[in-house]
Amino acid sequence: MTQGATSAIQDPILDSIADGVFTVDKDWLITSFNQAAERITKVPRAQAIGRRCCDVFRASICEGSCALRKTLETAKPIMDRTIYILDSTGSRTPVSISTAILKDAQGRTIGGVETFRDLSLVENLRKQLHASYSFADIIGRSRPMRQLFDILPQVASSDAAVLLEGRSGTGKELFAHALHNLSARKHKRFVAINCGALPDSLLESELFGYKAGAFTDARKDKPGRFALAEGGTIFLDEIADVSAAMQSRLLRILQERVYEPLGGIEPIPANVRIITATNTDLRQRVADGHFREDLFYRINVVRMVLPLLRERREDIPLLVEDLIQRFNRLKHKQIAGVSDSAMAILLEHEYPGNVRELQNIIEHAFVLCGSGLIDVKHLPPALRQRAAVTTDAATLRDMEILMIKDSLLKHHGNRTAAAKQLGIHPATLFRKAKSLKITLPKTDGRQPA
Amino acid sequence: MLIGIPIWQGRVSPVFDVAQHLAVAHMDEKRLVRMDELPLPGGDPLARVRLIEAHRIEILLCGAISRYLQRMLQRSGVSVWPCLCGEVQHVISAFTDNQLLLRGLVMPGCDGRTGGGGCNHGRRRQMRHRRGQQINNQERQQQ
Repeated sequence: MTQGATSAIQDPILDSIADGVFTVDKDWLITSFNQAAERITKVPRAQAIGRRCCDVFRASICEGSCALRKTLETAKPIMDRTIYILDSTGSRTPVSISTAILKDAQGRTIGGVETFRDLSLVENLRKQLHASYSFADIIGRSRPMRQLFDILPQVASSDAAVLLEGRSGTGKELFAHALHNLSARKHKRFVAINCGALPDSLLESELFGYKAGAFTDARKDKPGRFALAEGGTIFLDEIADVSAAMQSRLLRILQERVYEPLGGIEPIPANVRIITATNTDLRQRVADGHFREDLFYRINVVRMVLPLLRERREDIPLLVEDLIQRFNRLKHKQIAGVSDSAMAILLEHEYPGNVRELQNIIEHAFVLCGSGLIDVKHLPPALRQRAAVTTDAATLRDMEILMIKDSLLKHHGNRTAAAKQLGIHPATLFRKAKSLKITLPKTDGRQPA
Repeated sequence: MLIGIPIWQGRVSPVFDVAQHLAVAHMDEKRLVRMDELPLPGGDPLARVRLIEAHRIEILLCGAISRYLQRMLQRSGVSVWPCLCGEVQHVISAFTDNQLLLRGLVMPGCDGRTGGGGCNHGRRRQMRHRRGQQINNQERQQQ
């Protein structure tokens, strides 16, 4: 009692510390509690002293893996472990804790000490930082991505038909989702369908639905995807793969805003925004006579071209970090990041499968890496072998090609900037590009692509 | 009536969100008839709510609880009494006697005087309601 009463008196040394500090005796009763601890836990010192630490601190680890108990059992301090505590209003506060043994003048253990730092500010800053390089769940701070982010809200609110062009894995569906979520239709459904995955007859019934009796097994009416997306958005992926007959049916919807289910006689009005996507050059398909020109102009009111991952390599570290956080949550792991050598390989890879390929690489690494950093040995074998080839067996000529290509990519095709970075005259860059048979990019980096 | 209490070392678990076991008290009016113990699912808060619903627990007496989990339980019709601490048996008996505050079974900083208020959201109203019910019962018995 005397000890508790003494501890309840303000301790100027402990109170001068910005971190929360409390000490416990061997019965887990709090013996001292500083001002910062009062502020972070929102528990007054007078109420905390003499109470069990778990009833005051209310941390996520109190019951399962108390850090202070571990320290007292093993005599090993614990440093900077991130947990959360709950205050009296039920709000979670992330804190970083450290623990140590408390000994008396004779060196006998008399309890433990725990210091904790409020991470709310750090967490808020991290969220602000994340918000500065992401938009509607799409990650990127590279120039092509920032250009897309700039126009995304206006395109979303316009209700115009959008054509998303991008290779496989560039995030076409993610963009379509973002357009829907940023539009006035966000409270209605977003319906996605891959037109290339279904044969023509099935695609027709999937999109427009059918009436009972339309064919042998049609016992009752089935609404199509257009009916499901009424008031919302329909996303037609791989639009280039639809047949000529289906193209004319889609054209009718776009022109007249009505459709007829299979076996139906009455046209049904459709209030649906149409977003289409393709991984081929649709204009070329029109030129080749494989795609209707009138439909192309109908779906191509706004065209957004999604960049390849190798065209925005500066986004790779951000994407890797985001994927690691996502997989940590999904797979209940604590992977801290990627080693420098593994990151160098990830930055050099060409990514024919774009972001989806990067996602698969990180998922593969998560299987092999238990904790700590993802290293080269955790990457897929094909990636490791290619890296070994480029680092061990590269000739001077190969290195020159690699460096010139990289520099041009980094400067979005700007030859002068690339030459300046390489420390050579622009004329030398052109001469080397010619002799090394490097195809110079179409863009010169001075105007938007 | 069934009362659920997250239990750890015979006491109310400090944080319901991560509690591993739930004591279920079968009450007959104020009398404790039987006490069972259930393992609580880890991770998914929705699974916790579903388990409590499935066992038809009407009242949850618990320690700290995150706001969203409390709301989820309340939406499922469970009356949540958060910020309690102490031995489970004592908490049950103090609850039935309406003496949780008097017997010091409320977590520090949660007594409504410290400005938090969250823990006591609805508690006074619930207590008034319970007291009213008791008075009504007594009046009915007298009649």
